[in-house]
Amino acid sequence: MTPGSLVAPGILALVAPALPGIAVKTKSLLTGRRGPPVLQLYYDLWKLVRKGTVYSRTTTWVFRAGPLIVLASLVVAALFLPLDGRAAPASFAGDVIAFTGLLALGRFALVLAGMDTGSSFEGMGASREVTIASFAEPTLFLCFIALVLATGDLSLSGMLGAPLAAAWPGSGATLCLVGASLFAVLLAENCRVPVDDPATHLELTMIHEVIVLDHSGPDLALILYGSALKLALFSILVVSVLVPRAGLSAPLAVAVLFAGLGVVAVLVGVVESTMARLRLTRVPQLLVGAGALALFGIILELR
Amino acid sequence: MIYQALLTGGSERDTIQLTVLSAVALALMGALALACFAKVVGVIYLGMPRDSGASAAREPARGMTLPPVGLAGLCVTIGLLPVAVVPPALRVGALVAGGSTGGAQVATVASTVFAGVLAAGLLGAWYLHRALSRRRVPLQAATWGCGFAKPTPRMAYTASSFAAPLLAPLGSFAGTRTDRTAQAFATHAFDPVLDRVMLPVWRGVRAAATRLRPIQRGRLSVYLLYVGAAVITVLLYLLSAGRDL
Repeated sequence: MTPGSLVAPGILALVAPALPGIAVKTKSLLTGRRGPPVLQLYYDLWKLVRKGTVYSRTTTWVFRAGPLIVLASLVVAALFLPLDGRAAPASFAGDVIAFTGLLALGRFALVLAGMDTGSSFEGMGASREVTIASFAEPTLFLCFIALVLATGDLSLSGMLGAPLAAAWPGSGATLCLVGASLFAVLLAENCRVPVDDPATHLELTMIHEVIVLDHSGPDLALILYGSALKLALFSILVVSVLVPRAGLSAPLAVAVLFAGLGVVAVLVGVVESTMARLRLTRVPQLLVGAGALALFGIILELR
Repeated sequence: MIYQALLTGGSERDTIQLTVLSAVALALMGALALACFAKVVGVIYLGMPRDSGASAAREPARGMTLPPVGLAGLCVTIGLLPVAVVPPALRVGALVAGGSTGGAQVATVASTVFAGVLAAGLLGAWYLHRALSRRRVPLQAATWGCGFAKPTPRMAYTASSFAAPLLAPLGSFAGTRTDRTAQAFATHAFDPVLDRVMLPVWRGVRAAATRLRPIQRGRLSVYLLYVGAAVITVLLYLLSAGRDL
């Protein structure tokens, strides 16, 4: 890990909160409204960090540790992604497992923090969150296996770096399928339409928002920032698979990546403005369908 | 390391079906385990006490809490610092099996670095949080109940509700029974394998054994009668088959 390799993650940390803003702006424009500014989340975060915190009398240290673990796990997970299309700041063979494990750790902390409040709404959100994750995780793994087969590399740096660019001419179809599948996982893991509606104001229909109902002030700011970062991480996966950047110079590769993140955010906004939410019982079908796409990719690789 | 072996195996083509299947199964198991532990810990230990026994609960003496904490600490240590555990274990394994160690060294070093990075991340988040919330004293209030002024433990989420969306796709294999009347609703969990397969099979075996028991009473005369009846039956069979005796 060199200081130079941390420049791109630093930029990512700065621009991540803009992605939900781009998605919301796209949705607003497509549905004929003006919508909040793209930088709304920055304003929200700034407002929240200046506010005081309110803790429920029911809660324990589990609740207070939740936002910290969520943020730390996502930041560490970000270090495994090769933002410049070559090498990540941290990398070892099999770090995909560490990546998914970190996401799971953050989810576990968030779910326990929700359960710690003793609120029925937060219990409901926690239950939905782990249910959806149970279906999203196998799909994510299928995507990674397809990438391992296509690139022959076991680290995220390899899967999304130079070996990926070398694999594109031979396995373009597989990689397109994996990209589509990853996009569905992105929608599910980040609680966007058609799995969850981040704009909903009814507790019974929420998933992610309902778990964090009792967080306030800086705690909520950390969680909101973590959500934006998680959206950015999954967008990076999608963009990296679909646009191999190993041939470009490092600054250009990073620039292309961030342009790609913008495009993914716009796509999320388009999905949100053209689709309704799925019934909760249909969500597993969406994710299993996405897993089937990745499985087709694996079969294509085996021919 | 299980995953690593699987993925390494995945790059060899002959066992790929097994690899894909088991990796997906492991991913599903991991996510289900997360759901399960979140449910158990969340419902049993977190939130408001649900009955008088739970609200009167006190922390036991240090001697009771230290052993589980120590064991959990060991688990975390093995998970995050395998370099302290895996190479010695490999050497012992090589001694017993008479083979050679090797291969896993790189991964253990890498995961030690990983543990350091994770700890640094947690510390960083803690510092950030402390810096952000330094200005104000946190307030204490009741859990926000969406209009319910006085939340009670009965409003808290139960284990069966928590598991319901996960079990719904499994249908009748899920192992829950629902009792629904006009005024009440209750679900009960049962073990589908034990209650639906093993216990009925066992009851059948036991019934058959009970029916067979009167045959064997331990009387010599009855056993001699059995032997005689068996000989006559065999003789009759041979006769009817037309053999020469």
